[in-house]
Amino acid sequence: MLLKLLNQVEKPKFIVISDSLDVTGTTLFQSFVTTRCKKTVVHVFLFETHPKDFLTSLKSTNHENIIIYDFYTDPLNWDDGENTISKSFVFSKTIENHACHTDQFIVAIDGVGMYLNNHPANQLYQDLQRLKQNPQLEQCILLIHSDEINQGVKKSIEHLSNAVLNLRHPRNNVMVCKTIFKKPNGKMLQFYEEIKIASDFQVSAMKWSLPNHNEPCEPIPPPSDEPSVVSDLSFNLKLSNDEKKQRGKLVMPYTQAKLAVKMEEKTSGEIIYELDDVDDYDEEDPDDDLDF
Amino acid sequence: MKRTTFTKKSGKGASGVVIPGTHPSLHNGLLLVSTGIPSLDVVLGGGLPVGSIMMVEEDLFGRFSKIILKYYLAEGVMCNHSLFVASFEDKNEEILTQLPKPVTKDILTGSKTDDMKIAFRYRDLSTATNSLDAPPKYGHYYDISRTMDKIDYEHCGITTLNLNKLIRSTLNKLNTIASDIQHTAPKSIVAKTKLNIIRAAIPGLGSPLWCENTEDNVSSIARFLHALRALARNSLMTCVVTVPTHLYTPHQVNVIRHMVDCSIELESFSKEKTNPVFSQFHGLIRLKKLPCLNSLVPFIPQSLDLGFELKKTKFQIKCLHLPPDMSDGAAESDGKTQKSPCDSNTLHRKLDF
Repeated sequence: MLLKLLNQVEKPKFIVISDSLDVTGTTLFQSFVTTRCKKTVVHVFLFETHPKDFLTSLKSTNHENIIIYDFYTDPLNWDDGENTISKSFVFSKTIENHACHTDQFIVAIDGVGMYLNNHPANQLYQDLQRLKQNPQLEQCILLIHSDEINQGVKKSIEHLSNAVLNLRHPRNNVMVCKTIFKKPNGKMLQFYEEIKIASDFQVSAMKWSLPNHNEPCEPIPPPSDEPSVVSDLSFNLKLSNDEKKQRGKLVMPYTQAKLAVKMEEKTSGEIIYELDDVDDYDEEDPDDDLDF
Repeated sequence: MKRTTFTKKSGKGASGVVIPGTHPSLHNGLLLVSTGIPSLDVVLGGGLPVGSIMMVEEDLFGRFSKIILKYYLAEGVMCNHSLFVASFEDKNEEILTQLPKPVTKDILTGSKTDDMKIAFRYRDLSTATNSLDAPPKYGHYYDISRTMDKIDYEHCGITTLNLNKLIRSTLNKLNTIASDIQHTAPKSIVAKTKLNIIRAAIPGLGSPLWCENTEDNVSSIARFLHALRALARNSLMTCVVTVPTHLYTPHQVNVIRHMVDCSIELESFSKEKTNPVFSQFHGLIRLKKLPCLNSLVPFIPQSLDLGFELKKTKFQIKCLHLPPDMSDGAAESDGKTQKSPCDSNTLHRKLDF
């Protein structure tokens, strides 16, 4: 799943990478930027690394498509720096001010801790929403540090996102990424993958199974062809196809009775008796020879 | 033939005014409106009372609460009510294009084509054993795998509001709609007044886009709901809001719950952590507050343990039940689940004699 996100097979609008002190997400963040900058313009907001370091670590990739906003050198405007987190700083406006874009672009944000120190979280959410609604924005990638920000804020940011990548570190040299991907129809998919990032930012991912977690219930083996009760009998309980057809043709006794009832109703209750062979029916009335 | 002096009351009620899409409650004197989901109507005692606000506490990713909202709006379209949707999404019209398509009853009963040969006396009886499955008297059936065409909802009066500008405008806009003569609850019933219901839907109230989850903001949400409730009571309006309560502390959620009339909490299951007992369900529904508008005691449904299931074509609320215990071969499986023979999936398998 992670590879699908990297290769843009799946394109969620808003990806959040959440890391911690144990496991750093900067390499994954950089690999996202490298894959994206091959095709589209990427606006990178750097709060935690110097632009030069960032660009050198990206080494061989094409730097033409990367536009960097440096908020590392002088964020609070102590030295009359260019980019500062002033009260009116807003991600979306900064991008709008930057001319020369008619195409799609991608926004990558290095970290929100510095922003949240100077602005209420409310402003961040609304700003991200405004970014999302910009029709030219293809994707927004946000790196957050889970131990730096308030849990409530982290939950809210994850609520706003379309895909969340949680990085964990169960053992040495093992980086596991838990991807929660929200499909546009609302369904939520969850994946656990062990990832390795090479020095040229190629990512390889393998499925990782949680060791201590109880295995989800195995699919029930399909019931054997015959239920065990019937298999050992000396007589046959099954019907062949012909027998089934004949069973279908059989007329039920009550249906005959129904017809008979219908017939009787028509003839108003008379009893019709037809003489058998054995019956001896005398037409004469035996009371005829009585003389009173 | 003896003629009696009994004359049947005309179906229109004492005053002769009928509001389309509403029906009187069987338990108290309220006017009810269908939520669009027949099983949810049964749980609420017939439907949602006019003038009340229902809060759906969203599940973790908001998937099922969105579906409930869509059913609610679709029912409004079918009953020709006025709709009002206010959200932060840019294109509110999108939610209108995703409304489930209504399905006529013929299509449903058509599946029962087998003429029963032996149990012929049961042929004409309904198959519903559980009251939650019974066909709706006042609602409609919907198929969520298909969406409503534009022709179907064009005739409805639909107002959408994009909240990116100002949240206060929601109440103002609703007020203007509610003061329209057809929506005001009349002080005296005059026949021939055309009355209609407003169905207001506010998805994502209290989400990070509205405000941060701090104490101050919770009290402002409470104030908003209070004003909304006043508006709803004074006009013919029902309101459904969905709130992501998992972002708030329990105390804050209680404050918000006090301000609404009815609250149901959705908890969805994730694939791995499902208790095998709940294998049929997609999540649980907890009734946190039941509507109790004109009475001391609300209508309490037969069972408070409810779960929901999202099938391909419909969303249904069912009573929680344990699957029947299959003692045959249970010893070998070491407590892992057995599929019950009455499960809808295994019904098609062989139970041949």
